[in-house]
Amino acid sequence: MDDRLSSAPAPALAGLEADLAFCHPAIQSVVAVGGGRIAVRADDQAEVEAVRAGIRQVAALSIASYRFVPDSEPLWTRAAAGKSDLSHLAAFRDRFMVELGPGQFALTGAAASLRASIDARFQRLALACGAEPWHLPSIESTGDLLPRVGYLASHGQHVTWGVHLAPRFESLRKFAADARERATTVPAGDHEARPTGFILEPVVCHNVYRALAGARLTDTRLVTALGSCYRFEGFRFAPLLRQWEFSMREAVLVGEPEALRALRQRILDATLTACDELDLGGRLEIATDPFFVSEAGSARAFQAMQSTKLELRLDLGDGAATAAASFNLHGTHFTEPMDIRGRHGELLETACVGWGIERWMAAVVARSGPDPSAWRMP
Amino acid sequence: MSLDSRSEIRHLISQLSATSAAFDDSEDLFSRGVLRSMNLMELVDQLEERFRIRVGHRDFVAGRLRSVDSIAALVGCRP
Repeated sequence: MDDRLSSAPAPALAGLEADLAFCHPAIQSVVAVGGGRIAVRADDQAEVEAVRAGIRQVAALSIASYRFVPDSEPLWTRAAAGKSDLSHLAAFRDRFMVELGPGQFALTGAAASLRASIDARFQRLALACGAEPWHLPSIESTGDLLPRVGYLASHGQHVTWGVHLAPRFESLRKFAADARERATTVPAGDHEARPTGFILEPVVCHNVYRALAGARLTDTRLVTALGSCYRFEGFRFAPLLRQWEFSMREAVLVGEPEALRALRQRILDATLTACDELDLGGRLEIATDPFFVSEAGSARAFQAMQSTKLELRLDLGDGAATAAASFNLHGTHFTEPMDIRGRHGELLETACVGWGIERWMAAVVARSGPDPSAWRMP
Repeated sequence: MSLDSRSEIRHLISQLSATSAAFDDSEDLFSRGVLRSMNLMELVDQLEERFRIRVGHRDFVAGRLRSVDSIAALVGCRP
């Protein structure tokens, strides 16, 4: 392991740090990864050998999964005219954010306006490309798309499931009494809790493909929607940068491969123009999705081989950056299980572009400071 | 590259494939749907074990795992 860790390229080390968030619940943070060592901070009560064994197992799988992921040059870079400062985010958080739970934040006043302004910018971008505005639920049934595409196997570590109480008087009365007398907040065995049959939506595009299941499309379809998305991130929650609930606007494309590539490129070019307007520095890179480590080997390699995922990382200052947009080609990954075809019965393909609204906020604030009068509003 | 080796490559791909569809030696196995993304590392493992080669990063990026022809050339190039 030491040899593999010592020789692991940068993408593998960054990926390993992310994978360690889903290694053992006693791990509270990653102190350092690199130079042949992994150092973590863990709960004092942790079983040390169990944590160490978990780290060895996750590290081996994680590094192996990056075997074919290149540490390649960015496809595009931009240096901002002004300097970004990571410390601006802490000042912004103190002034405009209220933490309401792990990865859960209220935005107040000017921060809420900045969020709305950034979303409006990307909605205008999508509409200018011909997108049809949709509203989608922020929940996704587990009955069709998810099992058909293997999403829960490859991304289960991020998923938030729901329960509800059965509509039975006696069970409900028991829960009401426990809630009143014992401050019970979580249903227990005799409360008759049932799975909801849905998850809190980690992406926006899935519900578009579910809505188009069985469709026969005569032209390229482009849809845009703003979603509240949910991803559990273990110990990695950070205001604006990695939240349990976050906002993502997506442009979702369905059609012939050549048309999708051209439209994705048009949206990508318009997004890079937004970086110019906001004077944000960053880079565009080939990337891979955050697959669960035991399932990641082939998936990461395939994404890298096909260059199906491009990621725009925006500078935050002090060497830090955040993945604020992604541009993804899916081939027939969704259209085949959801039977979405063209006029002649041919399988269509899909693509999606996602803009992480809070991360764009972070880039704007890091660039301009926590004072709203200095923000370049889109 | 012997005919036996090429046949072995085709047999290996057929075993990994979830479909019984026929495929030409020049066809892109992944675009064609003969192989899926989940087959990729298994394909690498099988090729490395059977033909005693090491698939490198450059082979991967150059698309040398995409078709029977390109795999045969990859295997045939190795001593």
